Amino acid sequence: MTEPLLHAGTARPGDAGEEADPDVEHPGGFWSDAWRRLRGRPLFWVASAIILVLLVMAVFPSLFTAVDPRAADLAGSGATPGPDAPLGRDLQGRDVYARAIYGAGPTLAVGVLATLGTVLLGALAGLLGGYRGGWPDSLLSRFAEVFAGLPFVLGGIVILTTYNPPGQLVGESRLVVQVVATIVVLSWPMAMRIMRAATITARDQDYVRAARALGAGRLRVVFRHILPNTLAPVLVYATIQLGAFIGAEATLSFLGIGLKDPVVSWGVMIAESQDRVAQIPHAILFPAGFLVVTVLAFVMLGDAVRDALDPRGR
Amino acid sequence: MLGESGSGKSVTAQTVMGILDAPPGRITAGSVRFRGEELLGADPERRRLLRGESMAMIFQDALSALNPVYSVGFQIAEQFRFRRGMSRKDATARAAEMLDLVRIPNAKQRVKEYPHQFSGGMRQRVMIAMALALDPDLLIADEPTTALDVTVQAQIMDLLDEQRRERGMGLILITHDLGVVAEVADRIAVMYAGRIVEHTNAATLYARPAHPYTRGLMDSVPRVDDAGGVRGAPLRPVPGLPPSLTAIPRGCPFHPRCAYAQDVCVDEYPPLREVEEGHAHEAACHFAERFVAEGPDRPATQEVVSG
Repeated sequence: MTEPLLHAGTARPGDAGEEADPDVEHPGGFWSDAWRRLRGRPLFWVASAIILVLLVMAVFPSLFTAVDPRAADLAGSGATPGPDAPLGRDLQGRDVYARAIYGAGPTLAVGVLATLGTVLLGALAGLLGGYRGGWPDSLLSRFAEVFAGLPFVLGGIVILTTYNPPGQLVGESRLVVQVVATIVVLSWPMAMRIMRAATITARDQDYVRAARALGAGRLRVVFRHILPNTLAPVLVYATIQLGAFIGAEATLSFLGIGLKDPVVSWGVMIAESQDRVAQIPHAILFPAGFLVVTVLAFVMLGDAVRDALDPRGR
Repeated sequence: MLGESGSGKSVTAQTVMGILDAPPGRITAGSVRFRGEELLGADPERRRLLRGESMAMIFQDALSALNPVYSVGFQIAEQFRFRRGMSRKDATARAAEMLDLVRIPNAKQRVKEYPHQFSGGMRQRVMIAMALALDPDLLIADEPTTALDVTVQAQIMDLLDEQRRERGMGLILITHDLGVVAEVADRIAVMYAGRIVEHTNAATLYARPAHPYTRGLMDSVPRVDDAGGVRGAPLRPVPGLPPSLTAIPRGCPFHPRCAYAQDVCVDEYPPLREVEEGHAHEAACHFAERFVAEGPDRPATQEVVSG
């Protein structure tokens, strides 16, 4: 379901080859038709280009900067953008540009993985609950309400301090996994509700009854006939949540339970510099700018994908 | 199968197909036999395999009965691919043939198009092509022409009739349109409040309706050769409304609307019984014999009421 989100950056060369097939007569399936429509949208290519750059930045930060993001030069604390530090220095005298580049990886990892996890878990639960109805649906919904009822910050503190006592040093990847898991556990009920509502709507449509009347099995009905008709709202939710999750990661960092030194993330940078917005504005503006562009790119991608998934078009 | 909205026609069809929504629907009693095989209580997988293969169904509103996110070719081909194990290419070619069969012009091009790109009549043709794909023995058409305009209705009925003859296929037509039924049906079952109130062959039903409800339905059809040919003569509806199925009246469910109702109709439920030997004519009315005897030279229901 979020598959296009994942592969969009790499432009799915396999599909492009298939489409070049001279046999134009056969109608594609849901995905290949959607992919054909997607290719025709400039919005998709712009978003993909931005996301591709961000991904390269995340994987190979050293391509973009030779400066150590952790090197602190207190003499240059709060220095404005200049030749030796293109985006200036923060309170600790660290190079903002280098930190923003190195922050892309953890930021995107948390944002993308948390979105994927939330949507996959929530959508699956919503799809099954909504289609099955009856007591399994009630049970699942009540279960989801327990998690939805936990305040995010409180839940985050409980989960992260339990698995990660204060003062203990943990590796970057373990920290990322913990933060992602925390966000997913506390956020999946919303995705489930959206998917459940969409599924209930689709379940009672005549085309579902027609599919059953022609002998479609239960799995086929759920995954081939209902699922494609429920993707749009979840996709919109996912692209908006991506930005929110990056923000949530910053909240956890600010509380000292999320990503922390030596890991750099935009959320961490924003959280660190928000006390001195007036004195060192560039320290918050630039990471926030990166964040805005990233979220915008994913929203555009989500928009393009959603439009492509709807054959009725605009 | 004839009856007004809410008389249980569609629920009956869905029960036969085995696609009744299990909650809230519930099958309390009765039997569904297909070629001698009892289907109620049969293995769900067995029933699933019968659907499409041996029995298929088309719906009133073809737009909502076609999946909006798949091309029509894909939806028809789906059956060939997954029930017949055909390759995607062969299945699509077969789908185009099916579209051609139901006389959709330019079928080869149109397999790629989506349901919203078809007109109402063409959509219903697509639906028919989909239902006929696996060559079923029985086709249930649930008000196939209700959502269409009159000229298209006739074309669709012709198509259904032609396919039925060519394939030697059984057709259960669900409708509230007496004209459509008269042309196509061999046997007619009239439903009221969830039960069959009259069941016989078409000729007998039109000549000697045995149930006052059937009479009322026939009298309510406006006719060109109306008595006296008076312009502006009032229409003659069956008075009242069909009962709510949660509060079916005691005794004969039709008695509150029946011009001939007697005390016995309020007290006793009339079971469906044979009323005319040799015509397989069944009706659920205490006075069915009387109505049969009156035959076609009977006063219209409304004259009885006002007289």
